Amino acid sequence: MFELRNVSKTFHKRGVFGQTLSETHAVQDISLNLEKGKTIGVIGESGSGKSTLARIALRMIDADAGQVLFDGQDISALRGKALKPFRQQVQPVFQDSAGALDPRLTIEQTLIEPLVLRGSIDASEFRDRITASMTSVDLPHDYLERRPMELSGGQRQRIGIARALLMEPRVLVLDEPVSALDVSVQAQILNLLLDLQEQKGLSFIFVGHDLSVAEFFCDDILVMYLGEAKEFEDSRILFQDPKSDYAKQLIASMPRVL
Amino acid sequence: MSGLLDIKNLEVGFGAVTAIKGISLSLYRGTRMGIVGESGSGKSTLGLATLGLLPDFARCSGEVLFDGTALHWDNDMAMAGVRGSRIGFVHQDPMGAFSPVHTIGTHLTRAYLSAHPGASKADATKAAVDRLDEVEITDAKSRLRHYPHEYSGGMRQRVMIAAALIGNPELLIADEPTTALDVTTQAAVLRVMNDVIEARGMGLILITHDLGVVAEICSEVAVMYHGELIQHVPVDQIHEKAHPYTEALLKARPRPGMRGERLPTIAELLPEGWSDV
Repeated sequence: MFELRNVSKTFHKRGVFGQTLSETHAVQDISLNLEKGKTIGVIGESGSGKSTLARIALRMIDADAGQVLFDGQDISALRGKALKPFRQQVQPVFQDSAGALDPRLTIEQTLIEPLVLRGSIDASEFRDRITASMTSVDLPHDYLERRPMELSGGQRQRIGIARALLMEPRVLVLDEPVSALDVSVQAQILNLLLDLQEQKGLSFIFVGHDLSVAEFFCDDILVMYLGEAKEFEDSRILFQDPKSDYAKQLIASMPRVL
Repeated sequence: MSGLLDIKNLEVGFGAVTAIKGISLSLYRGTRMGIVGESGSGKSTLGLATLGLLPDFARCSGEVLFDGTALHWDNDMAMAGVRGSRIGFVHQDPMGAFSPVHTIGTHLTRAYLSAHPGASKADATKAAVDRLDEVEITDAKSRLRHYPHEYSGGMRQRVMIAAALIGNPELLIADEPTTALDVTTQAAVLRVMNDVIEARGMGLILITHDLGVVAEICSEVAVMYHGELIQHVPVDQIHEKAHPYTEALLKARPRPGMRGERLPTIAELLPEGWSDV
């Protein structure tokens, strides 16, 4: 359904005259194919290119090579209006829920904005949509009057998810969605995401660095190191029997489970 | 019996909030204690209060004895003799802890000279090189001339441990020392910390939100919740005598083979009305 085919991205550090000083191969020839209702995890350490890959999947940045396909259609060359249907189908949820929400807007204003941009729905449907999305993330409606800073980190992350769901997407790209949260809140958000996936048949791309969370949350896992795919495997198999040296090293570094 | 560090009925408040609600805790020489808790549990405040590093508006009562002597937080001269030379401190963000305009060598030699007033500069440099060797920074001598930004995150954290060791303290307090690091780097930093503590026979207080990190290097675990100490046991007995909150904290972490299940949340696991503590 959602496919990245041989995508690569190189960042150039340029001097004052535009000459290339150094190159970083952030993502090198990576492919993945996400099916309906499934979760692919992308794990790696800082600098592995996992967030760059997520941004390519979201079309926030363009890959230098390779294609992004949605429902079999190559959308990597689409721009502007033509990209709109894709943007509705594939929505992001970010790590820093405080940074992703405008501090001056109430939650209601935050949620109305994407609906207005989307257009073609009337005011009464606004209400229904917002009510439905607040209900689906288990937040009481009086929170609509609040501003982001009046909410806890977990509640803000729920708003981030609610906002993504407003567009009725089929894919969520989750970039470190629980990394900033306490364990107890992390458990709630992971459960919520799994429930939503079950109810709505959502597909997830989950970017993270916490291996035990990835093992729990993902069907398949792509292990990245310095822009390269080191291993792509079913999450159960990966953790029991890693094949690549890097994945072995990564798994051996996991703190002991108490 | 008095320990290396005895916290007696410590209470800390900020404005209307009581961050620590009367905690008593003893750490014996050579013990490594992990203090765990979630945000707002008061674990970092406990570490800062011990060293008298809380802001002036904080209200503190109770006392902390180090090696049997009460610490006088409001006496800067007396605390200067404790900080660094008797209790070393490592915190989470090494980038914030080092000044970007001074080399690592300057940081380390200054730390040495403040712990050993009157020592020569050559001694200080030698100590700096030795400490960097101790935390396994290769090519320590030339590394002294580098600035903090030239080090990677894991190396900076090891340098911070080196800086904390340079005054030869008997106790190290480390507040989330590996939280900002990748897993492989975290494993390396924990191993270095473990080796150093063991070789020196120091005491350790490791403040963290991660029970896995505690399991790696601590012998005891103290669990904090909303400013209270709810449990203090040897790490290997954590399951036998687990307090409901500790149990909940342990279970809320995903563990192998749970794919497809839902995680128990802490609210579900706690007995009715318990969270009002």
